[in-house]
Amino acid sequence: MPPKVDINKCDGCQAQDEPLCEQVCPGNLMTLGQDGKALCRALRDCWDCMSCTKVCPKGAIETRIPYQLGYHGASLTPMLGTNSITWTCVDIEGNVERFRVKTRGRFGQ
Amino acid sequence: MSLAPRIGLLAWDQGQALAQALDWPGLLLALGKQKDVKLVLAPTSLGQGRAELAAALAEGQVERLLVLGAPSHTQRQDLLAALAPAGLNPHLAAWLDLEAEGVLDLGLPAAQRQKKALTLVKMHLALLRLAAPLEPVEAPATRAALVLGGGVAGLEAAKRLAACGVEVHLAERAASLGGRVAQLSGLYPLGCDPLCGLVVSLRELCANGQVHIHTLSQLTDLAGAPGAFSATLSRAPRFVDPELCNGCGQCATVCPVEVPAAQAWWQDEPPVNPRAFALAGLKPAKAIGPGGPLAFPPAWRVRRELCPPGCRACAEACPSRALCLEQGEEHFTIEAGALILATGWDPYPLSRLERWAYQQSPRVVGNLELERLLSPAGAAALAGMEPRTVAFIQCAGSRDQAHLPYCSGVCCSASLKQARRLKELYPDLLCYVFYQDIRTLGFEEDLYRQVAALPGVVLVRGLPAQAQLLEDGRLGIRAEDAFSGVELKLRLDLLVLAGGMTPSAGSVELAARLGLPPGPHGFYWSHPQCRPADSGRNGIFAAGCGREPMNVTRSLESAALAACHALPLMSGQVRLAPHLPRLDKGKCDQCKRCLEECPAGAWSLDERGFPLLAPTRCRQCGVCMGACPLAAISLPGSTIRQMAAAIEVLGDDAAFAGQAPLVLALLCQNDAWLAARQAARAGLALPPGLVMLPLTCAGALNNALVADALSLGVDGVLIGGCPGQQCHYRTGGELASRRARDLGGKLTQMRLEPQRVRFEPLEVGQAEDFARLAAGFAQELKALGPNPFRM
Amino acid sequence: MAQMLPQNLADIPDEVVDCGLLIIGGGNAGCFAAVEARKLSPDLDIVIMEKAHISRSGATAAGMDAINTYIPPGKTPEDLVRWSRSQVGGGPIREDLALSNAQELNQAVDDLEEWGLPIVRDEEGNIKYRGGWDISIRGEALKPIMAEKAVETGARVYNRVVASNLLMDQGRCIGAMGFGLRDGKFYVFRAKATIVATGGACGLYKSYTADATTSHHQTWMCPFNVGTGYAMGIRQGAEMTSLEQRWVATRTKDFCGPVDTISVGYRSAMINARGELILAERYAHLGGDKAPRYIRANAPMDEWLAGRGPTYVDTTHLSPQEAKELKIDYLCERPSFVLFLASRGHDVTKEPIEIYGSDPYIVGGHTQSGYWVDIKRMTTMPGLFAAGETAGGNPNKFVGGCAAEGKLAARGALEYMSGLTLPPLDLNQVAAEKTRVFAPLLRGPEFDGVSPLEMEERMQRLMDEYAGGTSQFYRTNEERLDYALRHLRMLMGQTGLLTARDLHELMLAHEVIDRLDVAEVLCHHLKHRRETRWPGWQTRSDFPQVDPALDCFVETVRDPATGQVRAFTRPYEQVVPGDRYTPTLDGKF
Repeated sequence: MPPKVDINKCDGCQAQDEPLCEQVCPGNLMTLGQDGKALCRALRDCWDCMSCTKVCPKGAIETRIPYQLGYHGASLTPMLGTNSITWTCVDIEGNVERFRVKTRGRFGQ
Repeated sequence: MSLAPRIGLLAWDQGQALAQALDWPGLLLALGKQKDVKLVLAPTSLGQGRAELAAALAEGQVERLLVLGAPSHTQRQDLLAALAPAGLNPHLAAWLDLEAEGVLDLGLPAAQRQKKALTLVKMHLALLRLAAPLEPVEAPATRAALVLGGGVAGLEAAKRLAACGVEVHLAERAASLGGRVAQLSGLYPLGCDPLCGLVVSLRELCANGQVHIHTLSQLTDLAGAPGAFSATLSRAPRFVDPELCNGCGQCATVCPVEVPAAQAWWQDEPPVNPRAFALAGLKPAKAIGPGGPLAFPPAWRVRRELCPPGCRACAEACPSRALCLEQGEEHFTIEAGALILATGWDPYPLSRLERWAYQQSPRVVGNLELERLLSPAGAAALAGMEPRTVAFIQCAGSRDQAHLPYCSGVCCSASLKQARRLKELYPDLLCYVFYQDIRTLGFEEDLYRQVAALPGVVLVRGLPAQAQLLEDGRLGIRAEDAFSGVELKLRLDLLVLAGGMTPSAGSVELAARLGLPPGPHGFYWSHPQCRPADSGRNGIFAAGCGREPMNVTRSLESAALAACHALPLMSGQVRLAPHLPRLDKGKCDQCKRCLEECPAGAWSLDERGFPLLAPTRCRQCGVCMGACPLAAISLPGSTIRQMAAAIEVLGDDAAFAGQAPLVLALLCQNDAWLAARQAARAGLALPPGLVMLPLTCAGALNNALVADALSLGVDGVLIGGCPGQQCHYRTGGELASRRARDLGGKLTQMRLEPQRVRFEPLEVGQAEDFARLAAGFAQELKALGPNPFRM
Repeated sequence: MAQMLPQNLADIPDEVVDCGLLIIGGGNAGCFAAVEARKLSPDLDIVIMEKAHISRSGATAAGMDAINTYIPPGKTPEDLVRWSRSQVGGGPIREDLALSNAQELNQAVDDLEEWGLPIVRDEEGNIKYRGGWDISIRGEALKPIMAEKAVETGARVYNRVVASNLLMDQGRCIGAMGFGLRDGKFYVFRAKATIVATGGACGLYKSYTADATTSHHQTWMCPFNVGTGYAMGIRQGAEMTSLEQRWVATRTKDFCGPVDTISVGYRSAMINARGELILAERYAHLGGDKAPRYIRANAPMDEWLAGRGPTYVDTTHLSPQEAKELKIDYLCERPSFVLFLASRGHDVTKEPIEIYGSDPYIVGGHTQSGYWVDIKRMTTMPGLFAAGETAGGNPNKFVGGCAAEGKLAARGALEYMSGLTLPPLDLNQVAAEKTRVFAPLLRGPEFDGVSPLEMEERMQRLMDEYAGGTSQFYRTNEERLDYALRHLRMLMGQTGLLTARDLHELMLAHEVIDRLDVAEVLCHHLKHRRETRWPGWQTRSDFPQVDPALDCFVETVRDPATGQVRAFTRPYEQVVPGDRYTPTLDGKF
């Protein structure tokens, strides 16, 4: 059920007009709840693009696969660098895989 | 696009230390092959190097410079000055003192030292490649000042500025100048009448054609930026034409209003027991009266809110036809380069101290109220009380968690001064001073000794629990002397509560309106040693008791300090360092974090909702660069791209560390960096895999750079900043610490140990602590094992 | 965030914006249109209307791992057209559009690389081709990179403004209207020329995974692109082309993610439960693994239907390094697919990846459904240009082609607007639209209506079962299409009952309305093509063969006054010589 917000880490972007996740979601699905924390209006409408997960400066959002499609316990965490993105994937067996991908700049020079 | 960079490398191994520790020629050869390095010089003297470089610059062979070596500050300045005519922009010069980077450590294998040296230079080349030739920025600095507050501090600031040829606008919200000091009857230690000094100041100001005094005026809006403020003020109506009024007082005789007698003119707060005031035999006040002890202009004024509807008795009676009852509020604008806030203090409301019968009797007064009774105008009222036994209660509502937790510093001296005066007026007076501690500092010890020695003056340690109102309006108290244990039961003719000082309502309001950061206990913020006159916002300076409780001398000194700090902003033009943050609007998604986290309030929003920088508000700390989640802001000279390029070199060259953990230390240049350099220069053992880079402020570090470092295989990142409140820019260290914690949470999700990122507070002298810290960190990292991202 | 909801229409503020060029949709084509327009005209007042936030809106939100068309050295634009033509079974395609697009293609991709998009190159710096035409990119930041360039032009970007209808002046498009998703305002944009680039239409059909609590939007295509661009044109009488050529593709089963990466990039052949190489064995005559895309889409479904499923792409030959590279590709485009694999403990080197057909979409960048446009990309409505997935006639554009088309549309728009002045605003039109837009929000608490979700689900099930959705293995016939049309009409008649409780639901309500308009026209297209030319994309069980008489384009126009949809045809014109059914001149694959 994507995305999941950890309310202990989320600070609602300190009650700015729009938290970063709300600002970025292509489906207008993230918003602030009454408790001042981020929430997804309709989990079923999420496309798991992971834009919210990438942008959260507190690392409070996790994207998950709907249980209809995949089992519980796996995780995929992005970390944005200045011109790259790093991912850690943990499967349901606990195997860890790491990836670093350059996202800006020229290759092969 | 612009041309590729052309770097000249000047290797100056003055003491031959590097040649001994490294294969120096081999290093220089390798450096000569680096991308964009067009020239490598290894002169025996700086002078020789300078000449060759000048030629290379003039020919266009190079246009930027990296100096390897440790020239002194003067030598650096000389070199830059000498090369400037050849075309070297000072911001295209970089300096790398390899000796302060731990490459001299002979405990390391030679090959490793060599690799480390090469990596370090490559990192600095990466920084230099992306440097830009910066030019200083000029901003207008209007030659006018706005001083808010016409008390002693405001008047002094106005005098100092006027003496420097600045046009001064002094605005005071009351009709009278002089503030609270004008209400005092005498100043210690010399017993001077404060009006003396105030009148002299006022005369000096009036004689200066460049000084404009606006009473009944206060600030309603401040627009613009430091150097070019545009202040809007409102002037309350006086209802009397100062040109025509001669103070004859006819109006008062026909004024039907009687300000309730209970509002005795010497008490700040209305009493709850009106019967007690019949005893005082006071004459009622009117709605029209003189403006105050130092009214400026010296005309009367009407308190219109007290007038009955439609009443025009004063207007009809005035022989000079000076009344203008239709007058309304006016607004006017002042252009100023800087503001000085000298908005003073209010006494702590003594009505909140219920146990000492304040408001129950006119015989219970505060220090300020006693001043009025001690003045000639109050002599009759004082005599009416037939003072034979008087008591002072010090720390009334001060140093008390339930009221004011702090000490106001001046009340002990003030009470002793007043006791001395009372004894002069009533030699047979019995005067008790109940205290917790007598705090008469410095030369005021003399005052204390003098007063304590007076016959009939008794200092008792221990405050009476309460004061009982007696039938005749006098007060009964009981107290115990803490030293002797003797219990006192007294019947008092006058009880003086030495209450504390709070920031004035005007100060509090102004701080909110101007968006100033909060100071302790509601006073204006300042940094006690680094920036005592600072309000937290460029161009706005604070002086006097609005900053903290202080005596008149300190108020005057603080005002002069504020004036001095303000001067550059009123000099016609002010020159700013060129490291003003630049926003890449393309990347910006208007989340406003830069606005919210900027400690100096330098960002606002433009009409499209994008952040807009006010250059003169900016302190060039870089906190905005650290805050932006999209890395859209950078400070020229230490941009995110520059840092990322240097970190990428480190990642590529990670092997130089060998088996040792690769540690990147990002250190605030104000404190932590200096401590670290000192540690290296002093030869303290530093981890072989340690590489250091400076930051303008720990708060300027963007988490994306830490992410880069970790993803490239750096084993640990150490962030050094100023401890807590010591941060040069107020909030940078705190923010850095918080961001490091946030990143820690993300790292855990990434199955990376959060201990790999550490924020440490470091002060400039803590070289040994730095070495110890670095060693400890490296050890922990060794135990954790290499970064799993070393792929 | 609590929103102040209006009590009545008068409470809703209006914002009228005049500009030179209006771009509806700040996606791939939209951003390129803005950049090109700025290059051609430094002073032009450009406005971009974007319903999400331009930095991550639309189909490229999560990124992209490949650009499927980039002409390699030694090949020509004509070659590309030939290949594209053969990929849709010989067409018919608009070869004029395809050729002009191909001539522009490489420059657009070069622009992207110049802007910082990493294209995978080898050590010598040469681009690595993963297929005949496709190149690999590390496009996680593709959208921000394009968005930054669009913003840098100084264009006024109106984020969170949903387009609702075109602004018209006597049959000419002079802008668009819409509402603010955050500020609740009614927006009117008046422009000398308008480019509609709102992407394609997803969610016309029920996705087969949409039967669970949290996977309603488990679609390959961006579910937030609902065909608003098409709908706005349809409502005003613009001509649509080839909607019946729906994009149905082979996708990873359940997750519904891209498969080309695996099948093309990692040479993983399609196999069935018995391990048979489906394409190679059954479709050799059509090119085997290089067969047209609809063959590749339909093949696994046929296997399932015949009882030989499940079907897979066989990744078991991959080395661990290749498996890692594969995941990197996915991380750049659909990162949650990597999570999907992880959540099943699926090691791709040991188990193949299961595939299935996707739900049908309308995307003019993949097939050729969309607005009928002329060579300058102007639609049949003067003043309205289309680009990207929204423009029809030219299939196989993909990222590079949509970018190129954005540029072409910008040029066309600038040429069109020269010398033009804006007519006055028709206040009646504006008032009527404002009423229509906000009606669902102003029903009042007592109103007994229908939620957007209810209507959406009803429509999606209807289309799935009757108009050739996945559950029907894409098959439909005359009777079913008539049934679908009848019920679509009933739904359209009941849109006046849609109720929204906040601005987000208001958007959902209009998404349903827009989808219904597109779905209706789509059914007309499916009806009119009484043949089966591209099985899977368009399968008529009552007309299973190709009918040579229908070797032409099927077109529709809806009468704005009566709502009647008229279907007709336009002839095909071959521009690039060669055998239509093979990608090369010599008739080989």
